[in-house]
Amino acid sequence: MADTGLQISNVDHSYEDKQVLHNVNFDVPDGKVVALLGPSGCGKSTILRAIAGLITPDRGRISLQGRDLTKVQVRNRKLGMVFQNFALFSHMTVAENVAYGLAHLPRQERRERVSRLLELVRLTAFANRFPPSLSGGQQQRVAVARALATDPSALLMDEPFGALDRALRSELQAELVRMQDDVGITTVMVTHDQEEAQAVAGQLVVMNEGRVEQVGSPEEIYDHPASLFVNGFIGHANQQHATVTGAGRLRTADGSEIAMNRTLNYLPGAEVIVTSRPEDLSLSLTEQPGAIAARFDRAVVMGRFLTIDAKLPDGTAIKAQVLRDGGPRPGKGDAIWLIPDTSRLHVFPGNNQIN
Amino acid sequence: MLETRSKISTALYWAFVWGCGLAMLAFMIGPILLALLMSFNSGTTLRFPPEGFSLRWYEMLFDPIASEPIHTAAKNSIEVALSTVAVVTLITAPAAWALARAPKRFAGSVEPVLLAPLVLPSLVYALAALLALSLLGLGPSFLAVLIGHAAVFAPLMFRTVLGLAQRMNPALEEASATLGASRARTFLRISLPGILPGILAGAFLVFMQSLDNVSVTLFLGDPGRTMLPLRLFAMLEESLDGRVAAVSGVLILAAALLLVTLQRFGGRDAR
Repeated sequence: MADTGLQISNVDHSYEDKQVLHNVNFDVPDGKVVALLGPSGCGKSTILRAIAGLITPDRGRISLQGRDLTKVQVRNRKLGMVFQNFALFSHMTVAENVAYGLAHLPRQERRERVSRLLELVRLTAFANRFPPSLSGGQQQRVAVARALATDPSALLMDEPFGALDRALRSELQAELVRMQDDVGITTVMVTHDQEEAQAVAGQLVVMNEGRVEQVGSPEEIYDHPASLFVNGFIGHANQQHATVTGAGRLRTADGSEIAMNRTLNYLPGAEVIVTSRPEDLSLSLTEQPGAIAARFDRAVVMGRFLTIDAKLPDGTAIKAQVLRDGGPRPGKGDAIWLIPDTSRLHVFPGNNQIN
Repeated sequence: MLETRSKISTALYWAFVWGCGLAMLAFMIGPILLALLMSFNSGTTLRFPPEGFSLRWYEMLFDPIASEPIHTAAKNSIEVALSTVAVVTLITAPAAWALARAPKRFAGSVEPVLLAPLVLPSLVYALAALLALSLLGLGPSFLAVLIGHAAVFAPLMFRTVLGLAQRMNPALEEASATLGASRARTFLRISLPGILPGILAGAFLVFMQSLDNVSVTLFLGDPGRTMLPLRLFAMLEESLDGRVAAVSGVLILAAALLLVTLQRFGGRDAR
């Protein structure tokens, strides 16, 4: 292993007998942004706190540029952290907040650093204000400036946009990307919002129930999900139970036959779950070979697209997203056929079964 | 019909609220006003209504020779009160801060114990403390009063500090640590400002309670060193001395001034 970047190796952790991290492994290359993504309670904040040194994991190793951090105290780790609700010191001004980590510097140098950072986050005019008088977005930028002030080796951010309203988020995400380009600091961000993760990070670490499910670029994860969980968590995934009938052939629970254009790693007879993305289904009002029969529920116009909600014969919901063409729209309860792009279907092991 | 009934019940409701509220105010403020008025009486004894306006009781109260015993008693009382505040601050502020960070179950079982002196009659405590002292072969003394006051009044500050310490966002201290601050620096720059309003409010309560406490002082105090409340009692017993009212006037003024300063000083929201 190279001695660069941030490396998390085999980290386990428990809170009061409940294991919250299971053998967590991932690397953050120098200067890159990685987002830890997962539903709440998946352990993503715990791993961030372990990197920061706010908790000591039961097992495993966390190292930065080859330096083992596991035994280093929080205050000596030289990491910048942006907390979920920013944790600004409300009895200090913005400038004092940013200067807090610079107590060891001579006064003149400290003042210069503070003003450079306030410039970076475009808050120079607010230097002498107290944080409670700032807007959420401004507070977030103060938190970022304060974390960067100590010139940390890495930046950790816990839901940095979570406390902001939606409209503001994309603006600040773009701002963060710009700043990250300027500063080029290794960054780990925790979020439960996949769009946010994809907007800011080049690499995603998808977590569930204390385990890393998949590590990869947003594209890799979207196109080649490693598990059913990842498939459903990043974007929407329609699920159908099916049985493998031969090389590359499946029969779904409602009897449709699907012929895949590739061989599957399953023995005939294996129970599987086959998933499709809404945009990989096309709509037909007449029966087609290899199409999934469904009943139309409703359609929502989303710009150029039409999002169709339908039900399979067994009552399972299925979603399709098709281009709006001027064609006739089915009515509620009408029979429709959804034709999957078989090259983009994913197959996962069925319940309680491996292979 | 229904409308009149609802009108009557609304009227009764407000009559009740206003009646009780005004009665409370009257009971709280009435006697204080009465004492104030009596302190400006120009007559020769404590009485109401005053015979005329004069500052004679105040002049007499501030006369260093005529009122020497009162001055000594006041000095003793203030000494005890200030020492009590100091002791209580040093013990309860860190205790409350630590308890707010302790595991919930532990904190939940310790908190009632620390608050227990609030519900224990101080007379009972004072008597028990006196018995315990004599078992140890010690007598009443300044130190005994100080310990007694500290034990009985500590919960007042504990309560006010704990409230703030519990509401403080733990991420603030974590943020300080990630910025390279030592534990001591974190406590002084982040935690202390957070709980300071609680310390000040608690100090005010403890000071006032200690100053006018009778039971603990009576049982544990050195009889040779009179304290202000005991002295006032004695004066009322000897004669209806108008200076008692003047002392009340001074105390009310001091309390009001302290309260206003506190609100100004501790008013800033330190989350």
